[in-house]
Amino acid sequence: MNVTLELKESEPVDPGLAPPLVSWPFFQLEFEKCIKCMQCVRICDEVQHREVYTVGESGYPVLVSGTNDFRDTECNNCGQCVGACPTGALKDLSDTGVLPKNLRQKTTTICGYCGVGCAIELETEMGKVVAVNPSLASDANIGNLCVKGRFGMDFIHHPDRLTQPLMRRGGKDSPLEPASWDEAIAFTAKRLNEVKAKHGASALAGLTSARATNEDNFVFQKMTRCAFGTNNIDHCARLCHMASAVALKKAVGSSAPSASSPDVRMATAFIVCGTNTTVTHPVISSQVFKAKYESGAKVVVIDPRRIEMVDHADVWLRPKNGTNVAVLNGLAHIIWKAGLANDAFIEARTENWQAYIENLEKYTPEYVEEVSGVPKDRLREAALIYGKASRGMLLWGMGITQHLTGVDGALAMANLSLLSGHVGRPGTGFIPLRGQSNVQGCSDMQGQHNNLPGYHDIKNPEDREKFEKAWGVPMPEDEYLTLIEMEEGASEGNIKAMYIMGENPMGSSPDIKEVEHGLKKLEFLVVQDLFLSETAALADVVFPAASFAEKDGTFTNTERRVQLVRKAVEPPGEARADWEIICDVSTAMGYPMSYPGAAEIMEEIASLVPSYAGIRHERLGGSGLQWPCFDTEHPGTRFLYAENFPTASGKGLFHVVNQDDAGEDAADDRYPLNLNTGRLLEHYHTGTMSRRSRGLAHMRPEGEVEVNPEDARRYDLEDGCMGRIVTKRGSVDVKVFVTDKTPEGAIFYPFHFAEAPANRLTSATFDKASQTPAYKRTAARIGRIQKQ
Amino acid sequence: MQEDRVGEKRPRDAGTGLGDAGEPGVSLEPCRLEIDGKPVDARAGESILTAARRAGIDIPAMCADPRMKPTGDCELCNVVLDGQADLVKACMTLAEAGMTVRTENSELKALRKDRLNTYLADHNAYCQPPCTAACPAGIDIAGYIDLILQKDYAGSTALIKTMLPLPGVLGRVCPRPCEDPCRRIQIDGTPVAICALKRFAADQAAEAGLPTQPEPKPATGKRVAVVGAGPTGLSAAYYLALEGHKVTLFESERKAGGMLRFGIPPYRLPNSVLDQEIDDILSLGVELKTNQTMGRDYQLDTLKDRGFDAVYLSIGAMAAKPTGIPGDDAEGVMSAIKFLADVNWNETVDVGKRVIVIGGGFTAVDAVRTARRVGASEVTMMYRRTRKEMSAAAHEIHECDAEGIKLELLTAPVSVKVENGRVVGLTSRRMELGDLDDSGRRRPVPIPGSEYFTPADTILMAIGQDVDVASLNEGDLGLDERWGTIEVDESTMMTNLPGVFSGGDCVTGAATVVEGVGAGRLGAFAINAYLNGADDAGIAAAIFQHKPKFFDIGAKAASAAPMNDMPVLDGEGRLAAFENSRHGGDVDHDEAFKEVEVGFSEEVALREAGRCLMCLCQAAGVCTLQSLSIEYGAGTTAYLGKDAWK
Repeated sequence: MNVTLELKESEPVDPGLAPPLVSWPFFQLEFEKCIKCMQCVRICDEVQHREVYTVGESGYPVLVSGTNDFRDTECNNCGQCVGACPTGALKDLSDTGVLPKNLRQKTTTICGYCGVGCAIELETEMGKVVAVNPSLASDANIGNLCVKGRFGMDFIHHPDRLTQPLMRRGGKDSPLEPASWDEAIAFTAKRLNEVKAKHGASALAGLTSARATNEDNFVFQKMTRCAFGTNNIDHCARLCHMASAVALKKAVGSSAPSASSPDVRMATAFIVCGTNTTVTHPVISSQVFKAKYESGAKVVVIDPRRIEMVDHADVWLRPKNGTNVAVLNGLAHIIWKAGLANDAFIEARTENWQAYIENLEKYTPEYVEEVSGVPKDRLREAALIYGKASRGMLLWGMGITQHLTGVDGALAMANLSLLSGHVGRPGTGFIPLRGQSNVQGCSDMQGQHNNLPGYHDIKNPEDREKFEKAWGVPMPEDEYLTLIEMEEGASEGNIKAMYIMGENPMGSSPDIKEVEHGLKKLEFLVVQDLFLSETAALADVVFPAASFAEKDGTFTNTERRVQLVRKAVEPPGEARADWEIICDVSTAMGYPMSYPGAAEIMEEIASLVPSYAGIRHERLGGSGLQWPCFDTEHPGTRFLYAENFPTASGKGLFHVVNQDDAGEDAADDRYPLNLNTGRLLEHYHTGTMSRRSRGLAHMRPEGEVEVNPEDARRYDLEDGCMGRIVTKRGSVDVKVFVTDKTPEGAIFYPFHFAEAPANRLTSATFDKASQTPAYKRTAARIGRIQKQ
Repeated sequence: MQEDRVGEKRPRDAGTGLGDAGEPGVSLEPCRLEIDGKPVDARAGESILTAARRAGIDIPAMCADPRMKPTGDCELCNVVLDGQADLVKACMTLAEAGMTVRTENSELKALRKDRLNTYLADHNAYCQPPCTAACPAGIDIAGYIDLILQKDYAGSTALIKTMLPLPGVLGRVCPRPCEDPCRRIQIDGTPVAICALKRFAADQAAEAGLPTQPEPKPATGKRVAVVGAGPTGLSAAYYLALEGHKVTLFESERKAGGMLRFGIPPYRLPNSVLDQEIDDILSLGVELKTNQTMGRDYQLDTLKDRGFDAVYLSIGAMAAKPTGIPGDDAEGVMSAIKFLADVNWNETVDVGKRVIVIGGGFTAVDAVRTARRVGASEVTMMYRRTRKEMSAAAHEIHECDAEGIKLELLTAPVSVKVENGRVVGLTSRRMELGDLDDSGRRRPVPIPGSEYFTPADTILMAIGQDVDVASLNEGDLGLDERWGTIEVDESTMMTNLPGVFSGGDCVTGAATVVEGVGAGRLGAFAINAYLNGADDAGIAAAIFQHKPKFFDIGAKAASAAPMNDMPVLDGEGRLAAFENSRHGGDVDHDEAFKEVEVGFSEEVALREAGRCLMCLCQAAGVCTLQSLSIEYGAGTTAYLGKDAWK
């Protein structure tokens, strides 16, 4: 064959043959497959709003850095460009499959990470998940995904997965050894029954999991109440949004977020307060961007840290840590004084207005500036944005709740919403952003404040009777203990046995030295998990559980959307779905439970929980159903409170709340800094899953403490040096990251890292009404560790 | 008050999200339009494309992504709107009540093809490697070349072995159907030396003694008899053993290998290489029984009674076709196959000085070159068509020239001249090429009066082989009467006897080694499915071979770099060794039979591997560009300036 195309080594390289742009180990752009359609450039710019790509002179996409490495840009590896590429030019480097994509099996399910509830498509081959695609099935994410959802699923097949039950046959000091299911379950039931016989049912306690399905949680609380015979059940919502739940219950009668993703996309003004949304709920943040950049919505950010959302804000308020209430009251004051209060709404739909405004009088912009450090002009600008908006939306997170005054902060948010009438209409409302895949559902199933599933009051005789009839045993009468109280109870000797499902208090609870002390004192500890977590390592029995990809069930996301989790692969080894294990333990303890499948558990839930009455697995295709869903014809409810509030009077209640700096571990001469804890984009919870993902661990192999440059100078720290954070509770040694993201006088340290756990530093002080710990403020000092 | 009492009045409209579409600018006002004659209900404010997609009507589009505002840049979603002279973009045109839309016509087809070709001109890559599709064993060629580039030779060999258990053997003797469609040809006229790279990886792994085989699965307790230990039987035994089945290989000869052992001379495939790879297969627990001839030492129908749960027949096609020319029964006339076998079994063979081999295939080439090595000085290969039609590989025909072998092309034998019962020569006739025959080659037509005589001491016939069905003593086994082969259900590879499967030359007629090895692997999968209780559909699914669709898009590369030549033994040295021929007798230690092809050095192998274009795309099968290009017949080499890609 003749050759007409002659190329020589010395000729300039054709741009279509240039080396790829690499985001190791997530994806790369291979130019030979690129057709210059610019979908990658567009989605990064128009949806993610990051400065990563630009169009090069050659007409191909290039990086703004001019280099070939995405690390040189703002890229945070969301991989949206990979999903947008119509050819294979953007290659998923995490894809471990060998078959062509169209020959692989695909299962649409819900991401197991945060509370956004993104629909994903798992590609499987030979019983392994080999790749993740975004799915257009759900309105929750409309095809968007973040780095965890797209590239963080390799924990499913991590060699550390537990594959068989483990138990200590010879008491506390003996090693954890493999056991058969029969032996481990019989042993567990026997020991739990022994503790119950010896110390009474109230000496038992259960921690359930916001990462397990509704079905798992329902069965778990049923075991706790019927087989254990105690109301001692709680879960990690206690640590995050319990303050919001308590406040919203008081203000509007329900703890649930009122609005949905479509409402976020339609809103015209946002107050984003105490949520680092681009990091903790990246897909929600892209919907805020959509509202802002496609429809002109205005964004107010309230956060002491210079979070990424600040770059997209019209106004940024940077209050001193712990002055939320003053700032929010200040906003309300300005809106009211400017005549922007929604009088018709206040008149028709609310109560206690008069008392509220009387108290509001003193929150003048000047006073608020004095208390919080927020300039009054800025405050006014922000207030007018929300007050004048046609559709206002409030988003908040742990920055509101994890304070001694967490409930007050959330009540102040609710007040703002009622004052402006920004609730009960499309595009309005409030969403306390839920952190975990099923934290909403977990609350719905097991409740809080001593509620039965569906928030039935355990003290109400009618409600008790309903469940006693359904389950055939009397409901326990003991006072419940919260998660924090259980841990204290274990230390003090009131709690003798615990059953912990998919939860890692040894990383997530405050003051883990105390937690460890308590857990070690227990006569019997059962842990059910994917991995041998720090908590599981202390257990007497460890049950291997199936991950979300290995079982059927439902998650309820942060917009009350109940969505179907579908089994894509078999669990490793002998691991089983949580609900199956629980049914066996309960049966062995003497309260028989068995279900043919998760769908049948949902039928029982529907029969007992009116807001889930219409929910059936077979109805949950596409976007799922948002509760309340009253019957099997009901289309679900996108936003709440269209006509009334589920309070006694049917009206929303204004609450008088005041800025009250309760000191919450206030800084002093010995501990001059405020330690703030939180999350990183790449990691999740205590890192048991995300740190076992190759890509995520590569990006963030270790925790770094963020220190303001001023403080860095003051304490002789430099970027990359090792520092020691010391609080009254303990100390950890970590790498220092000098950045003006964090304000002077405050340091920020994420809590994902077991080898240097943030919660060795935090204190178990908490909001009185909700017992949400005050993680956001711990007095601390930091010093440089001298090189040996 | 309880939370589930939210919205106690049961709002039917507000709150359920039915009152608005949940997207700015879209209302729920219904509007009905007609797309391709089908009534479609849209929501006011949404695009024709969105409405069509919801109704299940597929309008091609490459840039429409529901996450972004439409731009219409790709221009593929252009549709015809009745009452409008110009085409409209479906992604940007809002649906309105009463619209009539057509999404396909010849103008749109042409427009879309043109657009796709514009995209393809920038798309210098390929979906699925044509080499892998052309390989009868389906080896992941780009994959193993990539591993060679990473210098992971054991990994590379292990990857080859997932499809082919004899990489060292095939790396030497494969006719390389993979190299013909190689896209590298478009750039510098020569393919990637795929086969030579396979040999390189296998030789490196063997030399380093690194493991390249997986552990077999736990024993299933099932037993399988494989009849015939040629390439097909060995391959079947390997994959059956990996599945955990107990395999017994029955071989009628003294050693396993079949045609590999006595059909291919050691200067192409040293016995040490073959022995090593057979040993590797046997190391999986495969039992080899030699000198076992079916019909003589055991019967097909008694295998089941001996505890075998399934049988695989891979007896090959070993019987030389009769020539039917007068005098072919004389002393000094023999089949090339018999000749090659005798030499390979270390028998001393005296063919005299003048040898004529009739045929143009692999066996003919092997025979002439072997004849040179056992002392014949005047060796002629006689073929009735031209060099172009010869089925032997071009590089081997080239070696014939180097070894002083005379090619008589366009010549066919007429009769053998016999004196005293012994051959003294051959009368032949010149041919010319006529019309195309069934095989697509031009038919040779005799030229009247062109007969001529060539003296010869030995005449070797290499005109093809048949299945030796007589040796089967088959009983009830179904045969294809026309071709004299074993008949199987093509979708399951099973014969008419339950549990008896067959594949390779004995089913297809004489074919290449790589086809035989591929058939052995599929046979193993069929039997494994059968042993696991699969029905016919299940067996068919286990051996189903997905053939990707290809389209032609051309290729370019960063630099031109023609194929690296395979280094061979120096021609003069070879000829000198032939002079000292010992007429066979001990081919493993005979200088004349030394392996001619030396193999790549690491440096050359890495350079050669670097030529691979890695025509392998993760998006293959889900790529919009691929599916639309196939649908609209797009594909172009126009930018290359010539029709380079045939």
